[in-house]
Amino acid sequence: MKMHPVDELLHDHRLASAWCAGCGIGTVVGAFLAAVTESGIGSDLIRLVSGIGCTERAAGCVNLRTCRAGRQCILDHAADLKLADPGSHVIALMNNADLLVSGARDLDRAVRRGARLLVIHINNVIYVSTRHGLVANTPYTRPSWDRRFEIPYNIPDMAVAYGASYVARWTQLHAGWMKYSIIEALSRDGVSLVEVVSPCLVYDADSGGIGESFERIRIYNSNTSFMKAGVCHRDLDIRNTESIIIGNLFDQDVS
Amino acid sequence: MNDAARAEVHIIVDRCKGCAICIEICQAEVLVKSPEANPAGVFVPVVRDATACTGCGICEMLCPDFAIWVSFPETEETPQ
Ligand code: SF4
Ligand code: SF4
Repeated sequence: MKMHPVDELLHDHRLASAWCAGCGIGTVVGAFLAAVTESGIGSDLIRLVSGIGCTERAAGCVNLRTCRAGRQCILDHAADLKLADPGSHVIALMNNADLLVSGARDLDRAVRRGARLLVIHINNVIYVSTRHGLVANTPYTRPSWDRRFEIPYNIPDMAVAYGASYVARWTQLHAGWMKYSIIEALSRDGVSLVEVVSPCLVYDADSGGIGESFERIRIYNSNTSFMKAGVCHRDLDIRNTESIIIGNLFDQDVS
Repeated sequence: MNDAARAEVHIIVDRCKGCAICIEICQAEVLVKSPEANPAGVFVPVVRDATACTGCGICEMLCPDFAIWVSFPETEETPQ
């Protein structure tokens, strides 16, 4: 075989300009495509919905049925797609702007509608989206445009509170586990959410201490710990723990 | 014969952006940065010692640009 194992699911010519060198979005897309291949679900049954920003480019890079919801309510759109084609597996690939500006409300609505969706949320640790739209979610809290500090979201806690049936968190380093979480989540009813902590390389270039992409791999290795029994979802805020707690955090089927 | 002898690492030079994640993650130190840039100005990884490869496939899983993968020519299987 002289092809990358997921080449059939890629638009090769779009990769060069999609993401910065070392950006975790590519790793997440790779884990997702490997999960699609290994899950045995036909690629024609996969619908990928993306929103805005760099994460949105994944829709153009993969050889699957995709759509870009743009600034619309992505999860509403994903739930509609599922309703229109019940046999399909709908995956929403979202970043902080997508999930936290309008998506949290939509997440609640998707759960209430009983939609069966998988949300892959790339926590790019971008705090300020635009001058007028704030996205508070970072362990390295940054001042917003008016110089105030804001409290970040705890995404797994938020998802569990809204009624998600399956929640996991990984980092770019944990691509293998991420893949198995995606396979598992694809088999679950209701709304599943897999969060991947992968700070934007450009946005945090001036924050100091995060470093090059290969240095981050070391940071993920030494600053993550697996979820332990007895840890409450409220304690999963990445600012408040000594290390980022990763793992399959909640599974309604085994809880 | 063990897996190490059967694994073969492939690098797609045109896709690689030279992030060096694969070099950092490989515990067997199979890969090193090329001393010369490719036409796109990227210092792609090159295989230093093919026999050291354990076939773990971590480089393939972590590469954000689908530029490296591992095959097992004798079995025609890729790592899971
Ligand atoms: S991880 Fe991929 S893109 Fe980065 S240097 Fe290695 S082969 Fe190139
Ligand atoms: S398969 Fe494993 S041992 Fe071989 S080059 Fe990749 S990371 Fe190194």
